[in-house]
Amino acid sequence: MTQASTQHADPTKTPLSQDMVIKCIGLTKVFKDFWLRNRVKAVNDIELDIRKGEVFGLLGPNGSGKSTTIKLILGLLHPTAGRIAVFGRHPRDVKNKQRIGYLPEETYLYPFLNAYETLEYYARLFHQKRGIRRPRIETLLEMVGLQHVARRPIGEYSKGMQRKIGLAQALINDPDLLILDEPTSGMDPIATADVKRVIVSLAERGKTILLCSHLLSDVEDVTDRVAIMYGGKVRRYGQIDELLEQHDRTMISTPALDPQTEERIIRALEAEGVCDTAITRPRQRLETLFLNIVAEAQAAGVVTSGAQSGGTIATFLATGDESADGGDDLIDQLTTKTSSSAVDAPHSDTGHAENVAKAHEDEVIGSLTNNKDEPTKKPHGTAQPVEEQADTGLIDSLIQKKDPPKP
Amino acid sequence: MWLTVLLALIGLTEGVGLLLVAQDSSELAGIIRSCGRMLANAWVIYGLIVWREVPWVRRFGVLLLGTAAAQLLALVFWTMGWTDMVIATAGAYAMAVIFYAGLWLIRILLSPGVAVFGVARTLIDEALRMKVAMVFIVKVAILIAVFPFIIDQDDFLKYRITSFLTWSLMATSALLSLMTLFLAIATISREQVQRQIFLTLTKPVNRAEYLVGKWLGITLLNLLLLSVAGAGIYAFTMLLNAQPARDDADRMAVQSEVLASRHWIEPTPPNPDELRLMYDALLESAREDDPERYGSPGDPPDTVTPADRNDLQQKVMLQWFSIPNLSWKTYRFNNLEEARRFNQPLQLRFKPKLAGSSLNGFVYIGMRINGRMYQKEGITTGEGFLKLAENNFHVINIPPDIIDERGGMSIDIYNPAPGGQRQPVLNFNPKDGVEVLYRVGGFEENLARTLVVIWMRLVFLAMLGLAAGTYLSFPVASLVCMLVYFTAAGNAYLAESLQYYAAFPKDSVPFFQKILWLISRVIQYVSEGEFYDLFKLVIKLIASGFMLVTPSFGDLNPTPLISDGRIVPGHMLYRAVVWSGGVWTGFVGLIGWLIFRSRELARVTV
Repeated sequence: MTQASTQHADPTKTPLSQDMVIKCIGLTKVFKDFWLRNRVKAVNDIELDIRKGEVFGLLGPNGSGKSTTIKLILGLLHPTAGRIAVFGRHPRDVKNKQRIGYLPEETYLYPFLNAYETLEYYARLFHQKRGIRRPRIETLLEMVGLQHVARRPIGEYSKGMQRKIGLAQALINDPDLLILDEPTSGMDPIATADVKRVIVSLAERGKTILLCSHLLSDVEDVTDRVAIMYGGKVRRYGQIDELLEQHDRTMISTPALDPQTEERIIRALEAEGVCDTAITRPRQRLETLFLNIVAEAQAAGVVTSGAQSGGTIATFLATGDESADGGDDLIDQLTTKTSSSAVDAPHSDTGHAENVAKAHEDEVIGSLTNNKDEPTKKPHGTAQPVEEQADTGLIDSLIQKKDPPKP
Repeated sequence: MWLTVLLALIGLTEGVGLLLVAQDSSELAGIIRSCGRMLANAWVIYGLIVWREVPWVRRFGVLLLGTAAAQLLALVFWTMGWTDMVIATAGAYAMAVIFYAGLWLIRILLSPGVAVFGVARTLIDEALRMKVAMVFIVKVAILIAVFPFIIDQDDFLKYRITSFLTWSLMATSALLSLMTLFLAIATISREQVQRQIFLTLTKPVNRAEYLVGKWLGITLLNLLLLSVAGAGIYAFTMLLNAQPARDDADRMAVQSEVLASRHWIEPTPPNPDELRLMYDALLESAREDDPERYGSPGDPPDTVTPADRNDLQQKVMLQWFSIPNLSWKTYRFNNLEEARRFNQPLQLRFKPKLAGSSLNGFVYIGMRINGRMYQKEGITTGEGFLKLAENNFHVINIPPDIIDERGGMSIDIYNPAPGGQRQPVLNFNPKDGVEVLYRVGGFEENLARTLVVIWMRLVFLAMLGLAAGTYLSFPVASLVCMLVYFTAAGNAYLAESLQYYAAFPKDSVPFFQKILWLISRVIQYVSEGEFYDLFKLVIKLIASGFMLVTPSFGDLNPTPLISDGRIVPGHMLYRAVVWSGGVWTGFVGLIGWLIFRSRELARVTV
């Protein structure tokens, strides 16, 4: 045993707080070659605490040690030094596995099984009885939009389709801890949005999600906290809002303003001694644009031979209610699919957009009157800019106030 | 819906047809029924296409297509006048149907939500869909179906059936052994390379359950394949049995010597001390000739090494089974109470051989059974001797009432001088040169016992392959397993070969002295430049060590027994179940698990 490992307390033997799901102390992994010489230090003395109910992002470029850390957490690798506890137990404890769902960085599925058989296999590994596993499989296949190819061998699937079935298998046990390693790689933006919706939905139910990706925008949309790794070490670690906040800049967001109003705002700010000022039009995100176009096309009934977008989130995942997965509930779910999809999709719901606009309005008022309030916590999957007709009267009244900025 | 519409269609047309028949409109009824059948057939085909993804429809479709293909093939052979091939096709089809039904049963058996069952079921799917196993399965089916027709049709029926049983069982055993090894190694090593194991072992399945699941899958698959092969072998044996025999004796031989399950009794000397006295005399003679090897005359008998003792015992047996000219020898057969109790006739089976030239290929013997001279019309000469073909097996049927009160029977054999011409020494093979057999059961039971023994060997091989695959790559694990397999199959032969391959201290020499001997011998070989002898010594050491930990399949070979109409004895069955299926399998599995449980499954990926 190395010195490092002896210095750390064993988290599996020390009492953890109730809401601690994963705890890594001084975690180190060194890969050795045939002659037992140190070859690669993949993970180097990292500390991680992941709490119940949070979406935790593990970020880093390729080869930074993210996947190795996940494999250590899953017990597929043994730490060279340091300790790990998952739900307060050793990572290889089989009792833990009952509560974990795992989607690896590549979809390691049996090519000779079809999608239905694949999910049935993994459901059996969770000792699920036929009465539970069959409705779950049907619902999951519906959710990932593969029910129409459920009897085709996985070996004939595209990478994106394999990722979808990989996600479905990770959810088959309604896990308390979901570990997703590059979950959206190979997926189109529609499927990516579906994955994010699943993550958000599970997080709202208090599930813990460890998301490992180098697609930063995906992580940014859904995570509460992140750890950024490079060279096997954690370089930054904390709340995503805190990490991303630029403390030396202030941004005011309003509906579109006419040039005269913009000019007046700049002058007002210059009068306050703020010189480095720029007013720009915010750009819509490409993902949002793409999804809106697809949603419009689907609404217009355009037929496609490509992949279908997923259905609603499986009821047993969205509500945790096992009985709601089969029979009439499934039919209800299917019949209300369009409306519930619209509710879930943040970019196509008018009511939701109004709420967002109202929140923005309040922010503008708050920012200009009090200069800066504590940032409100970003709701999952929201906070997209909304274009509306400018209310110049409101702006005028705000400019007239000219309250002194708070430090 | 498919079935409902089908049944409704049949019911409706048949009902209307019956009504029309009742109203004396038979022609119209016929038309309606014909239309109904056509519609039903069309509906069946439509259903097979539309609902082909539904599992039971797919199974039904495969069965239907298989049946149609077999019928078509049989029709082609029938048209060409190849009746044998029609039968072979029918047999192969029957085996396929049994296989399909058995597979369905296994799937049902493994359907509960148990992790081990899940792993086992997926293993079976892998075996069937990844083609490797299917190649072996198809080979077994074809060979069994074709063997009966490539055996010389002009031979005695007894030998044709014996040959079929020998070859079909050997082929089944060898092909399934290879399939088991390759499948076991491939499934576990490939999952590690392709990383499917990541997903399985991050589910609530421990590594022991994973190994047991794989093993269970292979074992059940082997059970199914052996059942199918057994059914095929039985069916074709019966088919051969239905063919005409050469003569009545040939027919009788088939029933009593092949399609039977017989106990066999080896002879013992009437005087229990006879063999020991012969051994002592031989040992004393050997000690006088070679005291360094056998010890000094007068030493205790147990100072001889086991190898030398075995050698001397073999010589004694050869001597006991030899009858000099103008001499009698008595062979006693005990433990025949069972034959008397069940009133089963005895068969004295013997193969006489002369140590020198025979008289025109014949050997003459005199025989007394329980003191009464045995004579049989056609083979008894005027001098009262039996004239028999040399170096051939002969069977004499003896009624069970000849068994004496002690439950035994004595046979006296005389080496005569027919017509005044002296014969060389008369010999019998100590292994099966003279023996008495009696029927204790049927062929079916014996075939079942044979298949159980083969299955238990496969049970061990499955675990061996899995254990090797836990740590080694596919090619290396395959080589190791093949080495173990061939060593196990030829254990007895290898042990004998090694004994003469290189010099080694006697077994009685203490271990420490053996080590000293080894060191001194190595130094001697190196200093004298005898590198070849050194090489042989090293090879012997490695091979002896390897054989020490390798089971012996030589004792678990039931094929020669069933081919010869002998019962697969209980001790072989016990050894197969307890040792091969239990102890060896458990031991190898334990080693595999110990390696596997602490193994890191992931590799460096940064």
